[in-house]
Amino acid sequence: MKDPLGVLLRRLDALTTPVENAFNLTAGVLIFALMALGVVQIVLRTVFSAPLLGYIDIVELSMVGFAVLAIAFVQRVGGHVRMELLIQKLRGRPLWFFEMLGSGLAIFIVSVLIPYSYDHFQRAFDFGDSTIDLELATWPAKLVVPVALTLLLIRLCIQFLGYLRLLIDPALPQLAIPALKRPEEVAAEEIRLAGGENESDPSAR
Amino acid sequence: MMVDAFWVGICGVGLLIALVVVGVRVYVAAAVVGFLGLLVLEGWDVAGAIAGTIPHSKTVTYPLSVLPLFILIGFLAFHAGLTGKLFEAARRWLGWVPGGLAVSTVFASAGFAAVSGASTATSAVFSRVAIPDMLGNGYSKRLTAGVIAAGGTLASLIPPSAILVIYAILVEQSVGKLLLAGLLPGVVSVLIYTALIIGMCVWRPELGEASRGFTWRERFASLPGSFPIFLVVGIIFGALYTGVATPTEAGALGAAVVFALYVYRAWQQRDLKQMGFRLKDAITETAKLTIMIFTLIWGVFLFVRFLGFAGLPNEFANWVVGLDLPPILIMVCILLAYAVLGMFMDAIGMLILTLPVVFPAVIALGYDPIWFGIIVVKMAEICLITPPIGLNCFVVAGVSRDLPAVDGRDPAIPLQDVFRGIGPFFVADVLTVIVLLLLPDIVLWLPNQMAQ
Repeated sequence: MKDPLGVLLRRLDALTTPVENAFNLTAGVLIFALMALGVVQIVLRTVFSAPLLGYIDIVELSMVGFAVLAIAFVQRVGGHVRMELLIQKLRGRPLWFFEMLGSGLAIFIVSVLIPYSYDHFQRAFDFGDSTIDLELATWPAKLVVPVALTLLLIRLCIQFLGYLRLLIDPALPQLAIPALKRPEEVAAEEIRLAGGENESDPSAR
Repeated sequence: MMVDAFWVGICGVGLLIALVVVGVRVYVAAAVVGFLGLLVLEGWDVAGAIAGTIPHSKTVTYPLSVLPLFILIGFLAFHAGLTGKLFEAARRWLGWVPGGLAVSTVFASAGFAAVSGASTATSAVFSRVAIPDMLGNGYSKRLTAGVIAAGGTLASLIPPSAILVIYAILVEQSVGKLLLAGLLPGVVSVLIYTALIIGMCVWRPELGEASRGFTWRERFASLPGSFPIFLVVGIIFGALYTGVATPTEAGALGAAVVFALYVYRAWQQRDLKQMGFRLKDAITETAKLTIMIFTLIWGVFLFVRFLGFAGLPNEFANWVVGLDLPPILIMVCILLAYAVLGMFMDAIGMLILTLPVVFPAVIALGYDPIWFGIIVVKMAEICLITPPIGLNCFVVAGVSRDLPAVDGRDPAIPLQDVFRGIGPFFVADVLTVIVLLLLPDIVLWLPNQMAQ
């Protein structure tokens, strides 16, 4: 059976996935750096009485890197919070319809947010907006928002088409959409992540 | 005009509920309704300017920077080799009481909660540590499952707790005070659980027997292994209580201590490659959870701005205050509404979505904002152990299925047994909420002692 949309989706998915992964890893590294910076700040302030100038500036500027950057990644894996009570009961076309509705609405709001958040950046750029202590320019941080949202828009379009494809022909294999997880599967995921100590620690015995 | 705005607000709330029920992601539903509402009330220019600013301005504020650090502490703590040692220490000190291993599980969970804010994950970890031991010592499957699922919920009250930070930011209260306020209610929960277990095991000894006593030497020998936990607790509490460091700095230091332990353990086990792999897992998962929360925050803030223009929170607060009912009755109704809602929705999502309307009403009724935060988080936690989607219960059942046989018997605990086992703990939790309702000082005493 021919599935041209499926071929296209697979290709688009393969193109955007590495970018999303890279953004998410960047966010993780930034959080780790935030930890290191906090320790440095405490040591400098308490031991040497010489706190980092502009510590709060640096933290606030870097926050956009973990507050917004990886938004498309989380959309891809279906991590954003929602109520699945009704969705879980649905199968086939009704399910894909509501999923498509959700991504359609998301496409609408993100399309609105991109130009306006770009304006927000443009203003900061034009007026030379800067942070309080270090007087660092804020525009690079503000530019991250429309960039991350654009990637999110691409991801949402992929998912929208993925649901549309299933709405047209529910018999096709699922592609480029997040898996719908039942509570058991969510639990399995949590268990995997907490997997540090498979057996209770032998050194404690 | 005011009436019009009010009705636009009501329609907005109705639309939001409808969208959330049909499974639209909460940030999308809130942002769409918020934006459309602002559009109707204030026009394109205002709506656009607000929508374009909020995703940046509401997320990059310094107080919120503590969130990813608390989450990071939790993910690293799983791999730092703390749980087994904590459980061993707890059983040497407390194993001698009736139902000793169950009591030990509660205390060890509480200890682990001090380095983790994640309820479900705490249950997962202790399922692995405690199920083999408890079943091997003849404990009933229901008690075993119940105590582990309930023990996990302590993570949300005992700092560091991500959900309390979110509450504090949303309702503009001191993060430090809320985190401190969670401690004593956490301790009260532990004591009530303990009393319940001892009571049950005295009444029906076949549920779980006391284990052999340990000498004082053995007891003290078990302490160094759990010392790092006390260190992290000391750092976070010391910083919050004295105010020498901001919550973000305390979170950074706590995370660094847990990270050091994690590296030390990997080095001890000659397992550095695996360590790198897990570290990547831990930081990417931290990033994922962080962005999930931040996205929810700005999405809902867009909706909140719209509600503000519509004057809805004020109207609702006035209406609630105008009701000819005693405040305590209204409070109980609000808590029951949360209990029902929480059965169907993630705790963090539920709080972020409802607080903008509920919180002003609660304050107008004369309740303390810090106290209400603790109560509402405790309610959200109760929902993690109730059907139909009590995630902690699914986790316990899930882990038990994959465990190796204990004394030749299958350790699997079916989900319905977990839900039955949790029953008494659910009652205990309701009791805790009643205690906190009647004695608000348990919540407020510690934050009120805090350095100003």
